[in-house]
Amino acid sequence: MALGPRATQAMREAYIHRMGLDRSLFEQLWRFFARLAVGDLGTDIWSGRSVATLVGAALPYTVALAVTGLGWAVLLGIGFGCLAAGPRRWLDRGVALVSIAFIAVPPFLVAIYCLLVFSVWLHWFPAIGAGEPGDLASEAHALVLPSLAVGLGWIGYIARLVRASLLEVLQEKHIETARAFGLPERVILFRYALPIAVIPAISVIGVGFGALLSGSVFAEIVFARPGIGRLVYQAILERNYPVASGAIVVTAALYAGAMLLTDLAIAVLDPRSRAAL
Amino acid sequence: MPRFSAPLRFLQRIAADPAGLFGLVVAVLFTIVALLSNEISPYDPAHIAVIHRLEGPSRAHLLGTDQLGRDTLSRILVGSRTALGVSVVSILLAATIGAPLGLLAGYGPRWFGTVLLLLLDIVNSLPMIMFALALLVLVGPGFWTVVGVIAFFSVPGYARLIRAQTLSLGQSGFILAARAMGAGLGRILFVHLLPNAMGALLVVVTMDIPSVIGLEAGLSFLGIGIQPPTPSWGSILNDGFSFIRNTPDLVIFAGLPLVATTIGFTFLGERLRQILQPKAAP
Amino acid sequence: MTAPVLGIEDLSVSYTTPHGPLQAVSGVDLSVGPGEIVGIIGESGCGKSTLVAAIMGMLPGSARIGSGAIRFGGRDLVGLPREEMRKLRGGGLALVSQNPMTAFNPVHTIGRQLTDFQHREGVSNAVKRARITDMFDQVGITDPSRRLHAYPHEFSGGMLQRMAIAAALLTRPQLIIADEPTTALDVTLEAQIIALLRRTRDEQGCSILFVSHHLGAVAQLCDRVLVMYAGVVVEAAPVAELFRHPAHPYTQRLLACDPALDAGGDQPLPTIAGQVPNLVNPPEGCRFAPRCLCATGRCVRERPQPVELAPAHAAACHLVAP
Repeated sequence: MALGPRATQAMREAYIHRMGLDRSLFEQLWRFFARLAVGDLGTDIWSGRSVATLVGAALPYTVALAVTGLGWAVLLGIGFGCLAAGPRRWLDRGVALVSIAFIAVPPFLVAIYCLLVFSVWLHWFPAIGAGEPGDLASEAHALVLPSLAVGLGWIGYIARLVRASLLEVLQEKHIETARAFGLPERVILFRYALPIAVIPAISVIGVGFGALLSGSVFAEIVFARPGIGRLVYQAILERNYPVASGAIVVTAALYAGAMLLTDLAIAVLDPRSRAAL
Repeated sequence: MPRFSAPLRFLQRIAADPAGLFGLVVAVLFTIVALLSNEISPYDPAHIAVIHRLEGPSRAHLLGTDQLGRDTLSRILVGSRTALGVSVVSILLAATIGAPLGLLAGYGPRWFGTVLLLLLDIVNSLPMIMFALALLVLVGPGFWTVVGVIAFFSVPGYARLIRAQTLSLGQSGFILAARAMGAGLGRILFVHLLPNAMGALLVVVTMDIPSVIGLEAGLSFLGIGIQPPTPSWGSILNDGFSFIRNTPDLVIFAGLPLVATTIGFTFLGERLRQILQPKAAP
Repeated sequence: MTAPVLGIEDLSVSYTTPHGPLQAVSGVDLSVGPGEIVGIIGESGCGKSTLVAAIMGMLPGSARIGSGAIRFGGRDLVGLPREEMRKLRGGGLALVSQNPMTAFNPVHTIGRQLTDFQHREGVSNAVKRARITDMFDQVGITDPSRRLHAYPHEFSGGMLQRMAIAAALLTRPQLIIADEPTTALDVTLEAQIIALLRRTRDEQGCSILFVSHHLGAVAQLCDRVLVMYAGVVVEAAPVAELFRHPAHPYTQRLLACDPALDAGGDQPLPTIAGQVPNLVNPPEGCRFAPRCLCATGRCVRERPQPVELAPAHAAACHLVAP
């Protein structure tokens, strides 16, 4: 299939032999993991470059996208959550509706509309690519829109979580103590209430890294950015198995890393959980 | 007539909240349009007329045409049918697999529940796109690929819900009474436990519909979902995306029903949750 | 007669509820002199907590101050703008609350929080920390400098309550309001906290408003005592006088019911039959009348005013003679 419809029998046999598909399944798996152990992800059958190089080149873009998207989500999500937990009811209702809307709309559509509004109509941001490599300003500029598209869905979740959490925390006795000592409301909110309120939101992020990565795939495709998601997508469409499997393995490692980071973050924020570690 | 007034009052309660009302209207409209789409479409959505490609909205074509001259309005209307079809089948499949798993996990041996939760967690954290792409390679794109992927990723939601309901209901009086009267496992599960979980199930299904519609559109947008000429909102968006600079109409028009249905069903689900599960955390 | 540190005149506070306004505090008069320890005793629902919240300016949004004045530092706290009230909290007024285990923020160290609480002092953090260690010494906390870096969950209730008192003292208050500070502690710890509070008054000269339902603690610590019931002050007297010659029927019953004051013997412990009245529709006359064994027709119709029985001893009852 991968060689195209005009492949001859001889070509097929050569390909199969090169790919090792003529060996037993067990042996194929063994060789895959053996090579993995030494960091060899295989060779791209088309370009001959090692998969590791390809993945290594694409990885930073995806990570940058995911992290920045997360940054948007955390910043705006916490901000909206605080607004919603405040005294004004219309703000609360408004934020709730907007949050739900952000969660509901599929991420690829968000990406497309962002592109339409901010790039095609307003010309504020580029529609394609990741900017000039090495030129931080242009790379950052090209990162804004895709990361916003990725983060938008999460803003909704985080805002709702933070709001509910904050409302609960603000009722607790230690906040009363802080007020009894005349601490200004802003200090109470940011230093005493928020650090506790964001903890549930952070654990959700760790678990939802999968969704974040899915969103990144869409953003990479819509905005034609280099990245692991787009790499896998194109590789599979081209039946380029080594690249696809190598990239998927790296993705799996990314997950594990994200989970670990989340646990660490929680440990930093909540001293009570350190005892359990 | 007392028998009919209860569902009516229920609908009234939903409609009392503006967001809920919006959701209800969207849900009803969507279902009607989807079912009648073939009848109400002005044109055959697969009818190609390249002379008329990429025309803007006009009296002949209310929403314009796509790059092959097909009427956009018709394609969007019939696209709703696709969305409904995929939703119904995937959710049924996911619920049919998930519910028994959840029941067993909640009511059966503890090790089963623990193992199941672990597996569900793994499924939850897998990247769906990758999985879909992998399946595409093995099986080929199309309706059943989409349904399979979506159902696979929806199963954890249903299994978890049913398990939670089962755990909380499993020790209650009427269950113990049923056991005392010699009811077998199957009877307890399907006759007693499941009907009591219906409320929560309704909420989850309603909240699931927008995800399913979104996923289907996403996969079709990537070209690995519903294949042309069957119209799907996602594939229309794909078509339109190439022309987004000069003729954004396709993208705008195909996106709108997607936005409306996802937001609408989500609002409806939220309102249902407020009514049926007032004690759950917001 | 020196001016009182705290003077409450005819204070009434109600909560807005779906059933109507709930009269939590009605016509309360109270005064605390400089260096005086005044106790408030009463069962749950008598209005003690509302009174405390009103003084601190921390009433919930549903509360309304119907009438009266709260004089502190030469000003009436009722109607004071929120910012002004905030300046008084931790800057003249200090609160020690009931449950020390939940009083502190779990994610910050004790040192950090007590440093924050000194936010009105214009000194460096290092100086603030030094003051904390000094204060810990004074309140009897061992190894003070190490405690600064620990988190609240690492300490016991007794230790935390000492720290709470230390925190209050660090703000150099004129008045400390101790709201049931020993309720969550066992008897030994209670005795230590009582001793600490007395020492504080003796050495620092601040006044203390001690709210509790532990009669024994009040008897040991306070100079004067007020008895509250259903939002009303029913009796006020110097402590010895109150415990020896309780005038109001409620006070008498309260003292009779207290296990600590039980004379021993085989008699079952008496209780007061009945319940606190519904404060949304309080009775017109004396609020204790429904449960009082000596109630007369006049008690039910007419609300009793405080009758002065002896210097500084007053009881709001129709049946007592001056």
